[in-house]
Amino acid sequence: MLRQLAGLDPLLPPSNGVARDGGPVSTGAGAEIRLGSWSSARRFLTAFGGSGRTRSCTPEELLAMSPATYRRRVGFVAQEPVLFPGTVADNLAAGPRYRGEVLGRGESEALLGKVGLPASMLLQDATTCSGGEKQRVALARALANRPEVLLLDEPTSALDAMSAEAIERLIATLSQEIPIVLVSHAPGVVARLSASPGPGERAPRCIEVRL
Amino acid sequence: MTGAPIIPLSGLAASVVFLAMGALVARRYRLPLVRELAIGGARAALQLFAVGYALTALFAHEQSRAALPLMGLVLIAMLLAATFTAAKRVRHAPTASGSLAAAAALAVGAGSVASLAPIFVAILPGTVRENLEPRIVVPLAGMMVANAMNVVAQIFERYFAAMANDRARIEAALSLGATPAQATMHVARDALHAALLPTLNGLATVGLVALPGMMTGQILSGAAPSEAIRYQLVVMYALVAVAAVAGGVALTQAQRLAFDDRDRLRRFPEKTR
Repeated sequence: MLRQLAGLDPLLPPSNGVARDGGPVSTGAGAEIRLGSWSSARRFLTAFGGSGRTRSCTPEELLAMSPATYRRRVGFVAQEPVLFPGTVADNLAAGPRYRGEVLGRGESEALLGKVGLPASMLLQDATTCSGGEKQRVALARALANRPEVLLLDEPTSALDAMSAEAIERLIATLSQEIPIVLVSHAPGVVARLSASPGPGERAPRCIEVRL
Repeated sequence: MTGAPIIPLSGLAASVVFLAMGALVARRYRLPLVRELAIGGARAALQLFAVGYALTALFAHEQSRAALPLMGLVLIAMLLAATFTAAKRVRHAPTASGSLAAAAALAVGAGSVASLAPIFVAILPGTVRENLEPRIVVPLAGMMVANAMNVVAQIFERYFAAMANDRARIEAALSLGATPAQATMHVARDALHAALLPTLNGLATVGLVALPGMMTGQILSGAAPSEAIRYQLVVMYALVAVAAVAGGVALTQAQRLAFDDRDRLRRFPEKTR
């Protein structure tokens, strides 16, 4: 379902109300939803179009945007993200480069900081990254596009327990800044991420998706 | 002008010994190719005899009014055969019937026109009408169409194989806002390079390693080598245009088939053969 919302697979036709990918979805806001039908996809798009950062628009308008624009605004990180050949810096700059923009060194370092990686990694060959590092670089690469919402498809399922826990904490932190929708079949992930914020933390931003 | 002696039928029959050599070596290594050698040999003989007599008939009517339409038929047959050969063996190809063949026809046609038109309009000495003689058109068109066919087949094979095998990387680029052209640039570049390579190698080694077919033919039929090289050079340059234009069009067509109207990469199941 997330791949469909990311604009990589066709959305289910309106007649197909049957859940296909009924895994729990966390909005990072305590509400557990099931995205698996056309109507819930519509609700997601409605909420996204009407969220504070963007001008309000209908799902139809959203879907009518150029695919490149839609995908820039709706960030997506796949289950096992693929890094492009080249350095970590090349990977971070990919999204802006597709639009003819340049990602400055300062911005790249800030992005790495956001996902908990040292600035010294910028010039590292991306193929030498470990599984956890790949996931972080992919998150930073998606953030470089300044998306308005981030879709994460089972972000921890390909990682060992320790890396998975670290990525979960990172996602919880990121959800303070950007609405995150994630699908996970691993028990507990959604529940932990949906738990109320710890002391000193703001309540996570959420997109208004309710079923 | 004294041409090479005509090969007698007995000599022609004796040339089957070459196929036997192939069969012997294949058997030694237990390659199951003997059947294919026999079929391929028979098929080549049949096709060449048919073409030989058809061309003889065509050349005999060179002065008649039927010459141009007949030649058109021959060219169309060539294009059709090349198109279906180019589209046939592609694994992971679009399944919608005819779509790949239509794309192949467009690419082969564009490459052939881009190379043949300048030859007949500007390079040969006479007027276009004078130059459009079957004995000039058919061999030149044959070489161009054959090269276009090989280039298009290779581009399709590589492009669609990469769409299946490199899917994760292409979709990662798409989801970062890349257009299909941007997301598949590395695939397109590799495919075009591989398709152009034989033609480029031909340019570099021509005359050093082998005398190419056209020149060999002209020399065998008694032309002066100094004249034969002019045709050969024009042909070799034209082959570059064929490969580039047919390759470029094939890539645009492949991309059009591989992505849907919302720039989503389609899925093509592997063909079982």
